[in-house]
Amino acid sequence: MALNKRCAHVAALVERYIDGELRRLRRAQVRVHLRNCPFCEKAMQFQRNLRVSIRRKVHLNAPPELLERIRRSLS
Amino acid sequence: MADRENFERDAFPYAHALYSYALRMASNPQDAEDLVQETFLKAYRAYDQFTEGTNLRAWLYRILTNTYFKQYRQRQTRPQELQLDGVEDFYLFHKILPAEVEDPSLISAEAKVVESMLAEDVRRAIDRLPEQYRVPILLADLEGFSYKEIASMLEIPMGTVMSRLSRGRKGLQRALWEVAEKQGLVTEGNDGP
Repeated sequence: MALNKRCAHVAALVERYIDGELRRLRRAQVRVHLRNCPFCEKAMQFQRNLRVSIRRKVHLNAPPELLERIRRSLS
Repeated sequence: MADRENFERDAFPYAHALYSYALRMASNPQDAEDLVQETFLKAYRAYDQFTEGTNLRAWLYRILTNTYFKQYRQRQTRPQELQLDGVEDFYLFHKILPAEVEDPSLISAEAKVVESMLAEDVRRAIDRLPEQYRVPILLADLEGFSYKEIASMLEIPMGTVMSRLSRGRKGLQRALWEVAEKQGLVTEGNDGP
């Protein structure tokens, strides 16, 4: 699916939008575009869900023995 | 000033997340364990210099990151680069999207392909990213630190954080696509536009 110019502009900003790192004006511009462009909105949601999936796959609990060892080393 | 007596109560809730981070930094689980233990030990010793009410989590990550760079990182001759020819914004989304879908309401925004990957393969895709990209991605995407916090932790300018995140995320999406292809998680024709 071909993206128009505005879509391409927003695509370049979407990661920073998700990160909450855009200044107010740009953030508002992106938000307006997403509201009016179902394709970019879906793509943005995909990027956001992708991060959640990755986070879930990467998280591992520390072994209990490690925690115990740390506790002992602090006392 | 923080009280050492409270250290365990305050800092231990971050142990699991720090361990997950350490595993993706160090090259083996033993080093990751040592790295976490050393981080806690250093933080404990310096805890009376830590200003209570400031960001304890960021402080712990900073200690772990510095310890990794000083003691655990593999010797590198020069920073590795990412080959990103043809990797655009929304790369993975485009790749996964069946080319014939014209109606956006029919597009699923769920990252199902990634959900169905083995955790091990996702971790390996991250591990294979060059360190200069991997570390900011871990701090931003997994731990949710701001660009400013990451810049300060890694002692690099904010602009560098942004460009590394941008390139690194593209590299990661390419790597995940390769995993999806290898595992047969995508049907033929899902070649994007």
